[in-house]
Amino acid sequence: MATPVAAINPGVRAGRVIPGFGLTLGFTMLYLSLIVLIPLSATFIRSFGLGWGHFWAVVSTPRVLASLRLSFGAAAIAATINAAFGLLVAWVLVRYTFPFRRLVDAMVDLPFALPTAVAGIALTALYAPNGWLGQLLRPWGIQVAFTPLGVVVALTFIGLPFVVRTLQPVLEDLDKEVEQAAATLGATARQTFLWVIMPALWPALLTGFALAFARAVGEYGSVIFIAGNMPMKSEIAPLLIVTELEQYDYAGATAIAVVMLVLSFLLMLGINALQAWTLSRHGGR
Amino acid sequence: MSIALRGIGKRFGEFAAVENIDLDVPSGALLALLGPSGCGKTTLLRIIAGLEIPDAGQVLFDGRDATFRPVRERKVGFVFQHYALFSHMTVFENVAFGLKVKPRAERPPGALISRKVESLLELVQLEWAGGRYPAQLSGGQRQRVALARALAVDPDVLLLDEPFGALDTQVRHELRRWLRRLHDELHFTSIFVTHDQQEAIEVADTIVVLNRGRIEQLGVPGEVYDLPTSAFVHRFLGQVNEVAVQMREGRAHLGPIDISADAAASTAGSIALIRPHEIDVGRGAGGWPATVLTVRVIGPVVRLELQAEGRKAHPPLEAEISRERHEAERFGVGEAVNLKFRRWQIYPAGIPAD
Repeated sequence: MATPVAAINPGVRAGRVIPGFGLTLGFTMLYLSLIVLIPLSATFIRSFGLGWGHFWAVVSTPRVLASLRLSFGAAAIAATINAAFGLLVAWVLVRYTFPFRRLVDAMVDLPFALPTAVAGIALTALYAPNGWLGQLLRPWGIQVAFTPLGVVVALTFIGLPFVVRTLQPVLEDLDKEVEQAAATLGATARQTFLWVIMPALWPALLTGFALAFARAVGEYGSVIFIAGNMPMKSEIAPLLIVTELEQYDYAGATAIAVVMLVLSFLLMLGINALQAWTLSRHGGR
Repeated sequence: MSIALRGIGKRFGEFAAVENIDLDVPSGALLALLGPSGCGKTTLLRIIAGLEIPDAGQVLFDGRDATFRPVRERKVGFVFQHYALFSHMTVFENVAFGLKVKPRAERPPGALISRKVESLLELVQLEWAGGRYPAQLSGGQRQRVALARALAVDPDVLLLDEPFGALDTQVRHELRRWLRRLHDELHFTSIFVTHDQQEAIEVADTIVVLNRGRIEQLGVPGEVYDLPTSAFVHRFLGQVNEVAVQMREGRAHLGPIDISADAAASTAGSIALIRPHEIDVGRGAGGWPATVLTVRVIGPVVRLELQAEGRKAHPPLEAEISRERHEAERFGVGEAVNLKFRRWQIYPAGIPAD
């Protein structure tokens, strides 16, 4: 029976860029443990102090459920909006040259750099019923500030750079000849976009979506100003956690945190699986 | 389908890629656009395909103006140097693409598409690869997929942009012969771009030599090789030795050899271009004394580098003799020989040697 050489002597395997597999893996594990795993485990352990019955009682109150629904729902909507318009922004930035392109490109990063509270205050001022945009929307019966819609607006604002920045390099690497090949074969612009360009973008688009979504689920600073924070209506889960903390109910706060963690983790896992599936259809490159 | 170009010009900024090109490609021709990089050959091909719009002139398909006809309506098959396959589709899906994007009314039913794709894969000898992804194939196989994909829509014209440029010699040779056979079987009009004169000579019926955006010469392969009309074409198609014509006592000479019988050689400063196989190397008296510098056996031919007397400042002359003659004569390195020129061509002075 033929045994692969690598199985007999793993040290022989073709050159690695960073030497010492054992050392680098060990460091990675330690680092992730310190930065991610231990703090998260602490959250879990803390909430276990409640006991299952109490835990369930805390997280199944209508107020908590409503806040979770809002947090995840608004984050999903915001990430979807960002996926669509982020793709458009990335496309325009990569494919066209226009005056001040670099400036526009730099502006995309602003939501990253801006303190979230500043963003929240600015958005609130704009969308409040007597604000610049709020005034224009009021005759149409649309109120943004202090409603779930405001939450979506804030989350869309902070999530945009993730989609744009993950798509840009992929768009830049796209081979224009492939599009030209599609055109010579008689494909319309729409067919080329749907069948030739989009399949190449899906993995990056999903990554951008996942990042924007994850960021939006955990967002606090910009939302609390514009949301109005009415329980059952426009109160997000992270705010509820802070409220619990302010009442020194650490166990209750961590219980909500654990639910958020598990939900986020499951969603991320799902998105990753979807991404692996789209990548496998590439058959490598 | 016949193609005609009338006064085609295209600039990229300040750079004139092609200028005032007139060209007629009769239906069923296999034509090579040959030239060094930057000569405009690819631009010209892309203008025919509709991937570039010319600034001036007209493109005629079967006598009808197609200058501004969109790419997708031109019915041209285009094969790219780097294949441009759809990497997320299988080989089968790649080949089927052109059929699947047809408007509903023209689209053949699924079973017919399958049959057509299978027969095309058979034609390119890849019937086993339908389920593979392009990344799992070698370069030569990928280019065959690209060809099958282009042929799937029954193009009237097949355009190939350096189709074999990225492949290794062996595969290239095989694919050239295969393309020639395919063309003879299917009778479409083909135009291919190459910078490899041997490829052009081997495959094409007609060669168009381009230089700096203009047509230098057009002809059948033998004609372009044997009767170049300019020093550029002479230099570009194959190896050449360059010897300056010297005037002594009113007679033209190449070294000590009197060539004043050649009327073209009467002006001082003109140059003679001589191909390596046109140099006769011998031990007999007369001719141009020279020393053998290197002897290299290259398959059926033997290439000698020769230092001719009085040409120290110039690169050595290159001569090619047959293997058989070499076996009989056995020229050794350092040996003194005499050179004679069986054939040469004189070009006026002042042509830069690129």
